[in-house]
Amino acid sequence: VRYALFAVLVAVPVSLVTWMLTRGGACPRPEVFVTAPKGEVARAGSPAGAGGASTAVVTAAPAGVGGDATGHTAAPGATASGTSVPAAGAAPASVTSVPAAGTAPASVAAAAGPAPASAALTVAGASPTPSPAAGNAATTRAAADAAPRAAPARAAVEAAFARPVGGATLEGGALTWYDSKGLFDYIDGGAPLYIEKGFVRLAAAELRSSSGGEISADCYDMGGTAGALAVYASSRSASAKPAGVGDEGQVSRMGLDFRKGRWYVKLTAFDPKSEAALPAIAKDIAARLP
Amino acid sequence: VSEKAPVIIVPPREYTRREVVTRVAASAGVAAATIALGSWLTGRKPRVADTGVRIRDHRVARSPGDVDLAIARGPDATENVRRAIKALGGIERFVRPGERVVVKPNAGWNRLPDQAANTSPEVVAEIVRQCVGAGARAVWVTDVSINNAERCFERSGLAAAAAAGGGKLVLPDGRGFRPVALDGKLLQEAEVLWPFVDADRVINVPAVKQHGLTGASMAMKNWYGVLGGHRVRLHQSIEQAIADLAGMMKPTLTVLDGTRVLMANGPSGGSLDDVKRGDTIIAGTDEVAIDSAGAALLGRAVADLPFLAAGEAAGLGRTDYRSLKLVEVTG
Repeated sequence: VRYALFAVLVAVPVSLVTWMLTRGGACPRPEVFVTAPKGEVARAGSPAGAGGASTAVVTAAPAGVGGDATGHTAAPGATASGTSVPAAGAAPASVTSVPAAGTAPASVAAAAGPAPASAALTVAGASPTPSPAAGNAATTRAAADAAPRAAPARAAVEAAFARPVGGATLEGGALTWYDSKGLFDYIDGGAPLYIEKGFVRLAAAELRSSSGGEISADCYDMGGTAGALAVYASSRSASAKPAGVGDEGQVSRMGLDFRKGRWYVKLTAFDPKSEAALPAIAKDIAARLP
Repeated sequence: VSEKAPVIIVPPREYTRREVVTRVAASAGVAAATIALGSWLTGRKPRVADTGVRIRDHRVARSPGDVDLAIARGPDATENVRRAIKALGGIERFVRPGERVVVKPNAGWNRLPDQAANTSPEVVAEIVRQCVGAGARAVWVTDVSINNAERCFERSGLAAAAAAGGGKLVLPDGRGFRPVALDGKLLQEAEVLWPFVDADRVINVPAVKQHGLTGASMAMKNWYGVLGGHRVRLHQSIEQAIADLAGMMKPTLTVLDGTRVLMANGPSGGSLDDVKRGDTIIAGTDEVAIDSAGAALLGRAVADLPFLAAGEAAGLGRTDYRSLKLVEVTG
C-alpha cells in the first residue's frame, strides 16, 4: 500500500511536471517552405481582423544564405573561385563544393542551418522517404549528389551562365539549384519521371532577353546520356520541329528543349520576342555545358 | 535516591532475505515505473488529431430538385461560368451576404494563361465578381504556389483577375499555416493556409491538366495547393493522398476550368503545342463526379485515374456522374 501511495503522490506528479515543462519543445512547428527562385520570399500575414485584409511584402533572403537543407539552394550574388564551402549542418545532398576553376568565376552556394525539424504533414505509417517509384531513386540520387563527380558539372554550369547566353542575361546573377528532394518543390508531380531516369540535380535560370522578355532555362543533370535521352524522349512532341542544337532538340511554340550528353535542357519563353531568342540561347548553353 | 530511567535498547531488526529482496525489488520497480512514465510523457508529442481542430464542412444543404452538376460549353469562358452557375441555381445558392469566401484557383506555376498550367484568369474573375455581387464580406483568392507565388499570380493573370472581380489576393508564406486534423487513411495532420480554415465558404476552381504521376490534375488534386511543407511526402501513395485531402476539404462549390487543357508534359507544361482548347466549364458540388466528367477532356476514362476510385471508395462522390442531376448547356 505504501509503495502504491508513493507512486501516486510522487511518481505521477513528477512525471506530469516533466511532461509539461518539455512539451513545448517536443513539438516544434514545422518549417514551411516557400519556393523562392530569386532569393525572394513572398510573405503575407494572417488576417488582422475578421475582414481579413491581406498584405503582400517581398523581402530579400539574408545575404550569404543560399538555401536550406531541403534540397534547394540559391546561390548568392557573390562569386568566388578556388573555394570549397561545406554546408553547415546540412544533409549531404545540399553540400556545395566549388573546385578551383581557373579564371572562370563560380558562384558559391552555402547551405545554411540545420534540417527542418519536421515536415508539415503526418503520414500514417510512412517513412520520410518517398514512394518506391520516387523514393528509392531519390535516396540514390541524394547520395550521388555528394559524390565528387557531381561537383565539376555544377561549377561548369555556373560558369556557363556567368556571361550572357544568346544575348540573355541571368536575372539576379545566380542560378537556383535543386536536388532530387527539392525537385518536387519545383516541378511537383513532374519530378518522379526525372528521378527514375537518373536525375542528379537541376540548375534553374531566369533569363532576361535582349528584348526585355523573360525566359526560364532549366538544366537537368541526368547523370549520363541514357537518362537525358529518356527524359527527352518522353517530352518529344509530334508537332515540334527539330531545333538543331545539342545532340538532339526540338522547338515548339514558346518552348525549346534539347539534350546534350548528360544534360536535358528545357527553355520556356513568355512572349513572342523572347520566343524568337530561344534558338540562340539554346545554342550558347549547349556549347558551354560540359 | 536517584533512580535512573530505564534504558531500553531496541535491537536492530533482523530482515529476512525474503524481505530484503522484496523491498529492493519493489523500490526498483517504482523507480523504473516513474522513469518510464516520465519518459513516455516527455517524448509524447501533442497530436493535432487530439486537439480536434478540423476544417469545417463548407457545403450547403441540398434541396430537392437542386442540380448537382452543370456542364457549359462555348468559346467564351466567362459566359460558360455564368451559364454553369446559373444552371446550378445561381451563386446565391452557395454564397450569402456577409460571408467570407475563399476562391482557390490553381496558381502553382510561373506560366502564362495560354500555357494552361494554371486556372484561366477570366474564370476566376467571374467567380469573384459573382461572390462580391452576392454580398460576400470578403473574397480571398489564394493558392500555395509551386513556383514563387508572386510571379505565379502575376504571370498567370490571376492577381489581376482577383482585383478585377473585387477580391483580395492572399500570397502565402510560412506564417499563415495552421495545423489541422484529417481523418484520412494516409494523412492524419496537415498545415493548411489560414483562409481555408477561416472562410465561411470555399470555392474550388481547378484547371484540367495532364499530370505525370496521377494522369490528371483537376478538382481533387487541387487541394495540394492549400498545404505547407515539402511536397515530396505528398507523392507517397498519391492516389490515397488525393482522396484524403479531398475528404479534408469539402468545398461549397467547384468550378472546373476546361477552357484550355494541358494535354502533355503536365503539371507545369510550357509549350503551347501541349495545349488544346477545351472551352468547357464543369461546375457542381460533387468533386468525384466533376473530375470524372473532366477526364474526358483529357481523353481519359475513369478507370485510367485511380484517385477517382479512391475518392468514391471514401464516400466523397460518384464516378458515374450521369447518375446525378445533370444539366448541359452549349453556347
